[in-house]
Amino acid sequence: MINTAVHVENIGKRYQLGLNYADSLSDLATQFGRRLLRRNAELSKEKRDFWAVRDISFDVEQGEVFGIIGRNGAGKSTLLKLISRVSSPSTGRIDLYGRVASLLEVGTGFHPDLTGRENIFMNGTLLGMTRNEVRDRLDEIVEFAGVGDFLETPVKRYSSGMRVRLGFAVAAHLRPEILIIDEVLTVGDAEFQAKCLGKMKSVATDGRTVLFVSHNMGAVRSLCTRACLLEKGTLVTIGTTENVVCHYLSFRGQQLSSRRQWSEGETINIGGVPFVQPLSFTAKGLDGTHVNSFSTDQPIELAFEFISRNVLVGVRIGVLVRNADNVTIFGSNTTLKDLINDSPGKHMQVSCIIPGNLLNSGSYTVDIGLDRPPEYIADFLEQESIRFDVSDVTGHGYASEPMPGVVRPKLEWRCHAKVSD
Amino acid sequence: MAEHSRTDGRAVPSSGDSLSIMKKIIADNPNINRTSITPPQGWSLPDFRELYRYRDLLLMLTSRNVAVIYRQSFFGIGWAVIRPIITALIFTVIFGRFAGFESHIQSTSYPLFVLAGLVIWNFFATSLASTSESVVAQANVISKTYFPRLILPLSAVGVASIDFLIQLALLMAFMVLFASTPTMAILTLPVWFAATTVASLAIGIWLTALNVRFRDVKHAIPFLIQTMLYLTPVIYPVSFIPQRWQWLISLNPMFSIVQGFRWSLLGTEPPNWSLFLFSMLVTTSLMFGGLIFFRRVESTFTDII
Repeated sequence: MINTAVHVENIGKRYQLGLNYADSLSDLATQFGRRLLRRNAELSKEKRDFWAVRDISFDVEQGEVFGIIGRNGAGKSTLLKLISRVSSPSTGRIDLYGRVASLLEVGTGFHPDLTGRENIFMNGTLLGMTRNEVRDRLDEIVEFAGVGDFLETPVKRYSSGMRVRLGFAVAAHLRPEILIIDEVLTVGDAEFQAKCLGKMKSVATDGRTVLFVSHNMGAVRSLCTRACLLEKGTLVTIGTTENVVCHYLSFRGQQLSSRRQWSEGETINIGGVPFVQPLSFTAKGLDGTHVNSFSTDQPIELAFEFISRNVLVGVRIGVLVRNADNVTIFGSNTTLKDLINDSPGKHMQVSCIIPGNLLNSGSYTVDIGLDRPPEYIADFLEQESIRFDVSDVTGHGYASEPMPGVVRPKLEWRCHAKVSD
Repeated sequence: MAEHSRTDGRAVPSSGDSLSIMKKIIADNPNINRTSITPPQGWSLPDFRELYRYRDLLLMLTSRNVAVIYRQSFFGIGWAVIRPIITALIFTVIFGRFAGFESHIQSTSYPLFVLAGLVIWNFFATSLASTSESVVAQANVISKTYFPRLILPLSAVGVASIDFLIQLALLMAFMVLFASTPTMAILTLPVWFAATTVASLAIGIWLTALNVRFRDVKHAIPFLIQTMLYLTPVIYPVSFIPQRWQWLISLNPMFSIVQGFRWSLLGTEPPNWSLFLFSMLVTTSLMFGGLIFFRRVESTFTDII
């Protein structure tokens, strides 16, 4: 007999955009005054609704590891917040059968002045354990986190890695019937990530249920039995992980090409002043032809064309390249100190070259950003601006076989006989 | 509702009586009970059973906050003792000597009179101030994990009561010093402690919830506390207030409580019991109103904060 662990029915969360929550009494008074003056029609226009998630229904069975995937802003985190009761839904209902623990953040409630032991108790009770339960599992938690020697040391003396390990260790030993996890695998070192994945798998094989949100398609693939895909707050597809991940990747691919063009009149502003009028962002070969697909041995030029609208002293342009599993491969910023100090109004191109024999075959997306240090706030950031494919045409080595791995460098191999004495 | 009534896989006998058995299983074992999440609606009191389930969190939060407050300060717990002594000293000099309030108090010495008033007053004032900040201060925690939000103001009162116990010990030390022997009235001490807790929660829970939405509350609280201090017989005896206005000033719950606390320890004049009851009636209704209001708005906290 199969039992439902999580039942989600027509769930929706609405935020009101025009009507901000008043932060002070005077704001409220102004708002009230405005309401008196305006007619009703205008008032309803002011209250524009924004649905972070809408009409989402699904069931998760006991012992399943269920993945929730989607682009940034698709509503994944909102959905998890609703299921973990941090936020209340506007419509619909959620039924949870069994004890729930949610891990929306690693180490919630950690206090830097308290020792590791004290924080384990604090964090554990915050996640819904009783003190006795924490005491029973203290040894396991400490061992899993590997912080044995630092148990009586204030957490502020911990490295960030230790803090993350401790936080995950507490959550992993909750033994809830339903475990809700958001993106925690993006932190910590690779070894610990693998340990966490293993732990989550064992949680599931114990017959407990895991709801897992991640950007990391690799992790979703290896962990989840089923998944659903969210887009703009609604549920696009639900089914086996492989189908949903494929759907997500092709869905994302359709919308992107290796050339992004901006419509006329769009400008990138710094502090409200137009600095750059973007024209296009393109991935192209060294010969200048723009194609969607490159060979692994081919250098790729990422070129940003724009018209300068101001003196661009100190302005920096950066790119971030990610693969289909949403793993960041690398990022790079313009190294030229003064980007352009010519007079405004010129048609410019800033570009960088990804050398050949670096990226392995696969699909890549590029984020482009523009800022002016030392402010460091991205004045302009477009995620997944363009996408290009790399395919292994030549193959690797003698047998021309494709190689696994994130990068595919062409290494120099040597072989010569050693003269023995 | 019936279509959703499931248990966690426990086989239920398929006799005609299965529904009642299922109900019994669910009633016996809260762990397999299902949690239903629906849009918030209606007005109700907090779920006290749930609150009780989270009692360990209340304890942990309270002890954590006590530890955090005192651990890194040089004087540590000493601060809880130094503050009332200095304040009592200043009040004794300014109000007792210069303003001549001393002469209006016969039953005990003015320093003890003021210190006793301050100890119970501080409990109220500290509770109120920390309660109203409790939810806003934990914004990052409440946006990441669920627990009954009422735990936060309750633990703020818990922290303040630890302070109070330290100050009470200080007061008793001074009583020995001033050779003041308590009467049987000391048995009523828990009453005044409980009444102060109710009073600070009654006002504090309202302010906690309002503070999330209106940050003005933060600025108003020190002013409110200061104003209430002057409406409470901490530095002056009750006899300063004309008899016919005492019912009005009793709307301030601390009016009778300070009087009663002092009576229980120093054997001064007992409070007017009917005024005390009237005051507690008002305060308790205010507290229940606050609990209902808090329950109503707590689900919106994470959307606003």
